[in-house]
Amino acid sequence: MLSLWENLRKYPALLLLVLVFAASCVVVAVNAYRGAGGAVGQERKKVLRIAHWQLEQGIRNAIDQLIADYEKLHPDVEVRQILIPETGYFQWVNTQLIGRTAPDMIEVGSGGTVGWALWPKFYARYFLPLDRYVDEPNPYNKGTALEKVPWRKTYFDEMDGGYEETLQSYYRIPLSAFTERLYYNKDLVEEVWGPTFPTTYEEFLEMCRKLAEYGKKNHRRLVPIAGSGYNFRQFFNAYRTAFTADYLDPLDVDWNGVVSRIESAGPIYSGRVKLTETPIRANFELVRELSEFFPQGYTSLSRDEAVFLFLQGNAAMITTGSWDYESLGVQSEFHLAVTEIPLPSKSNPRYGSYVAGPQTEAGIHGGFPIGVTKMSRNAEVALDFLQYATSLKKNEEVNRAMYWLPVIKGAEPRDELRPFAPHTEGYSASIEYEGPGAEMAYAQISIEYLSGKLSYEEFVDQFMRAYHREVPAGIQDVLRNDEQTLNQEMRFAAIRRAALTSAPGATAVATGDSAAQYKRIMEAYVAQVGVRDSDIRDWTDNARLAEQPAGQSGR
Amino acid sequence: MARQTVRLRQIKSHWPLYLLLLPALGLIATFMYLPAATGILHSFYRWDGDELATYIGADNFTKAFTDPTIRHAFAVVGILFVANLFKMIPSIITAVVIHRVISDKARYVYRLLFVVPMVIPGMVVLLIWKFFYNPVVGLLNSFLTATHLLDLFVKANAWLVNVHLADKAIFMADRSPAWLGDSSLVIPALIFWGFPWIGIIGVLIYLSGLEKIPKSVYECADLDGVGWFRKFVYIELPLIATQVRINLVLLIIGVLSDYGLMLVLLDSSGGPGGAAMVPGLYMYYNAFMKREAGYACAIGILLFFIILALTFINNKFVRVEK
Repeated sequence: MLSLWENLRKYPALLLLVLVFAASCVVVAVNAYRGAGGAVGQERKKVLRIAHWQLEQGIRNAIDQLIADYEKLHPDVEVRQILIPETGYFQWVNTQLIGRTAPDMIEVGSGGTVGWALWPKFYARYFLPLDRYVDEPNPYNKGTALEKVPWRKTYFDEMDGGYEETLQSYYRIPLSAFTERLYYNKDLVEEVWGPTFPTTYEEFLEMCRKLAEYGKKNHRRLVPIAGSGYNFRQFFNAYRTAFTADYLDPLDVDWNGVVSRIESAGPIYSGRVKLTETPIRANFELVRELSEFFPQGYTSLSRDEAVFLFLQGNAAMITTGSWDYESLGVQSEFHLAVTEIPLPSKSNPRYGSYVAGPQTEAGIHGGFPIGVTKMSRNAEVALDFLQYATSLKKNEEVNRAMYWLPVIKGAEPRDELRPFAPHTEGYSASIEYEGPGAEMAYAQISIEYLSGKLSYEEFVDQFMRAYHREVPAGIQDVLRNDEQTLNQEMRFAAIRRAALTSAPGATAVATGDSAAQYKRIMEAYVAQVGVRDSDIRDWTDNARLAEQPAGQSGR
Repeated sequence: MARQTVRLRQIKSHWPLYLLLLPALGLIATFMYLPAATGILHSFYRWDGDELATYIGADNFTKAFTDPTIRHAFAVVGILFVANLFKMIPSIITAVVIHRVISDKARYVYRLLFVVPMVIPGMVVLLIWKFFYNPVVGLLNSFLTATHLLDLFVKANAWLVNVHLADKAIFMADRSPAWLGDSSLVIPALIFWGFPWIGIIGVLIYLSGLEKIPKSVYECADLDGVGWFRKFVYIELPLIATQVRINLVLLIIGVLSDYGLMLVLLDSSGGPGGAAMVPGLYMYYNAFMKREAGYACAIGILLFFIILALTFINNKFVRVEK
């Protein structure tokens, strides 16, 4: 033994390397063992991991409490929160999914304008379809009015927020609901403007002017609105809906009440809808007019910077969602008030004739949506946890703790959240300006217009050049994604069209067993759209062969 | 043949040393060369970063050569590279000044003072600079307003517009400039970033070169009556050329491949008008936002060859006098 030590002493570097390597192996093994629920006192525990980007202390604590309650009920389960900042969350999820190291449950749907096209692909490949669970009652609703109600029917939106239209399946379990409003510093606004907050855009603009003048007069670094790259979209969307509601009829070709990016792309690309049309122009011009009251270069500011400006009293207003209510309330040293984004009155000479009305929130879906990954070793337990979180009692409790709106019928929100109750009357968004593939160009060029660097004509000219350059490839990508994920929505739309136009496939009504129905759907789709995909061709061929009596097969 | 026998014998007699090299070589091969090799392979595929890959030949490269965003990105990185060449000068001057401090103790203290800021995390430095550029509460705008320099900028800008040397007013009265939110100001802001541009690592590398210069050389120069500036031009600068070359290589690699700063400051779209879109950021955008990893690999390969070519030119033409 001594001689071995004498020999080893000759090679201190090798010895050190071996020791470090051995220590690393031990650390990795212990972490893996603990990750699998094998820590001391936690043997044979099933470990669930839930990843989300809600980093606020109040939210984390509320979820911790929910987890603690669940673990008390299920001592063999341990649930861990994985908190990832919103910046970079989409990239993190992306790499975790590719690496097959994703947690059991993931908050889905981030990624901004580019991510929207990728999520259906993610759902199809990495997430568990939940159809067979959502029609069963939630066992945690036992003893309540929802005891025998199917899980999806217990939701205020019948779990529409969990339904992925492109895949015609449920992939998400929403935990909360959100609406967006205008928050303001009540003390400051009352001091400068008066006790009644403006109800029209004209008054609102006047108030912004007064706030700006007040700041100058008092040598304060005061901006009326805390805009940022994130906190101006609420204005933009509200005015887009109000000004372009009339585009719904010509653009909503699949008649689902919503104009998608694809539905907008064709008419904009072909010139059937021009960005120079007066309602669209008015939409952009109004936001530009208003952005005079945002901080200079607001699009380069982050959401946190805008919140900081508002909380420090350097901005009088900020637009954001109900998700920020608690954190803004806790951190502000002034009285916080919440109101609607004011629209131009009908008598406004510049914008009045385009204003249809406010944005409807009748169609809002459940938010904070959680998906269960296919790589989860405990998918059934993960679903059980989500059922627990969306039971009447617990959904009310957790959302009251988070100051968010619950999603389950009969669950009561906090009284303070009354101003966030969804408005059921109004109009829905009727045009999408960003074409598929042109998202980056839109982000870059629209900022240039809104910051005053480009005239409207220059903006349209530059954007349309980028649009014509990028959108054809973007559409191809969407089509490729459709083919990869077998876009069933289009197939159902084909049936609807066929039924209305008596085209081939019109007989594909929902009769017979599911295989026969599906075959008819596919035939209708092929008859309408043409064979685009070898999978579809194979499927219809196989279906046809399956129908033929034995012995007639030609293959 | 005889030489080979000697080498083998050397390996045999020094095998523990070669064995010690193996883990490092293995790790480098696994985490550096293998990803690079798969990157080359995947640049010929339409690849989503996961399993879906379709061979498309050189289409990704053809697309890259005709992509206007790539052209713009290389133009931006070219501007930043030239600016960074000038930004090397303060580090050289600082190193020479520290080197010339007569007191050993004082020289040590100065060196220490340069090393201490290295412990500040890069993200903290970045956030400080971001706050510095904040249009409402930032220090830069406060300084420019307090010193009335902003009024001077406004007047100069108006004059440039009047004489048709500038298209539009960037600086306007009563409006704080948005250094990171105005496409005309983003690049100047990025160039000004890090002022007074004293790179700690750079200074230490130059100092290591300067300290190798024998005292006798300075003594001879003093006897010949050589002044401080000529000492710098004829003695110090030529004798730290090796260090300048090293820093130049690091600069080429750093500037051309870096995109973290732009990503954190301006998001993956490269800021207003895409003014700060650099090739690395566009590669990242394609790989992680659009999930066009094959195209991102092709951009990476192009970037690699450009860095290689510039490094080769640097090593070939920046002469080192021994």
